[in-house]
Amino acid sequence: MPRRPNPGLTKPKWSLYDLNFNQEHDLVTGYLMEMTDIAGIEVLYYRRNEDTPYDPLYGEQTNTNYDEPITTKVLYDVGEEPNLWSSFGMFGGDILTCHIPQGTWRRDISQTLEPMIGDAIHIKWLDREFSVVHVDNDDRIFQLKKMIYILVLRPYRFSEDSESAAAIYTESVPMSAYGDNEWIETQSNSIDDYTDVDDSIYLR
Amino acid sequence: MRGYFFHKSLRRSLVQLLDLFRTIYIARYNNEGYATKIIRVPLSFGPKEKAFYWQKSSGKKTDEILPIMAANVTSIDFDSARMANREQSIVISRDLTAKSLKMFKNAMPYNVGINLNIWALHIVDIDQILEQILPFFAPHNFIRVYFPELDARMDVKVILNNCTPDLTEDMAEEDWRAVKWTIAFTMQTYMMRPLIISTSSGSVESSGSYDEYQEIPPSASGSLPGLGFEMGSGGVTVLSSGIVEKIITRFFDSDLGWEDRGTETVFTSGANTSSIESMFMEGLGFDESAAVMYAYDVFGENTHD
Repeated sequence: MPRRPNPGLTKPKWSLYDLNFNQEHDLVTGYLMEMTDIAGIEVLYYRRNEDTPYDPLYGEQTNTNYDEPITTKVLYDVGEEPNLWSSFGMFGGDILTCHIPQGTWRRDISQTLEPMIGDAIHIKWLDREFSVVHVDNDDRIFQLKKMIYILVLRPYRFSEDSESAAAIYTESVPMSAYGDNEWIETQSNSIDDYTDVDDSIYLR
Repeated sequence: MRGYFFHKSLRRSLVQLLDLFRTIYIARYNNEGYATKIIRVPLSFGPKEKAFYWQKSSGKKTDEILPIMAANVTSIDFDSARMANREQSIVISRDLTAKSLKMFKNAMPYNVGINLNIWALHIVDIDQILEQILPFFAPHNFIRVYFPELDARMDVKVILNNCTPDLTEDMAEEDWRAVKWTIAFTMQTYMMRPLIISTSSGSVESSGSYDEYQEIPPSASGSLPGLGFEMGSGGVTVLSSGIVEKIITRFFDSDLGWEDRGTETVFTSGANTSSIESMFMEGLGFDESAAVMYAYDVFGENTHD
């Protein structure tokens, strides 16, 4: 038997809180924006360029591009900021929860677009870069409206994807992880440099 | 008693193994399929000290800069299948004037397990790295390790056992994808044994066992190990070596005998005396003229026509 629509489960429509010329709603929006402008942290927001094609098999972009950064302000709190040491080196496992009012977003970044997973944020005072790994809305805080974006941030992973991706990195040092490659080459040559053998059988 | 020695068998093997992977590259391609950038994949051996990582990252930056490769040792196991005669001596050099030998006993075979961990942001990066490694293992390859203090060079077999992915498939809100692979290798290397400096000037006889070797500190400055020696040095010596001069005075009673004379005048023997029997038993330096003298000396027979 086909499932029949059940009109009894349809949510009621709230016509009470029409946003057009809703001064109370504008007041709350303005309050949130003002609060963020006063107490927020200045960041550079990089929107991930949606025109870059994906590899359909692996579902990834190796040429990830970002639009020009936009300065805005956000409020954030730090959930965890552990440093992890492994054979790969030292890495930050920070998890930040970032709040940006939708009014601030529309004023500074885009009137029509919303934040996306994959965008990047550079926190100026911290001089660190983060990826947006999750986007959500805050709870309904006024007139049943969600008025704040919540962004979950993790440390940005650099991988020489594009010029704009490299530009996110604000350090002046070359964008390459630490490696022993040159040292290994020197040491290996002092042990045996394979010059007296047909090294085509070796992996060189 | 053994003296101090340190041939860096493990370290040298590791360096040569890492040398296999120090020139791995990945390329970035544009949308038309043309390579626009070549990146050499950083390789390190780890884990290192925390302080090292802290200094290398300027004490602040903890960014993940990918791709990256890191190797670590997972195990060291004795390999009985490659065990050879442990008492066989390998002569490095002989000094006929000083009547001394430098040699070492057969090395001990050990299998060293190595994991090469690869971490990349993109799966296609992993593809490129694997394709630059896998074709060169069938499933083994060879590296060479040279020990200058022993003047010994070894071909060490490196076997690729398997490649294992470590992919994040279930991602919570705060998670994001990690692309890690591990390639497991077995390095069939050897642990070198102490250097033996064997002379004939000593007064103590030896059976050739390491237990009877007199300890010689690396600096040879006394009974205690001295300082100032170089890494990789050190060794032992055995007194009363097996190097023996051929003491037979050659008599050549014909032009033919002169032409057939042996060119070796010194040979090695297990005997500690300069006896003609040892020469016969060893069979070294034994020629027609010596046979005549041997028969006369031992049996009193004149076999010379």
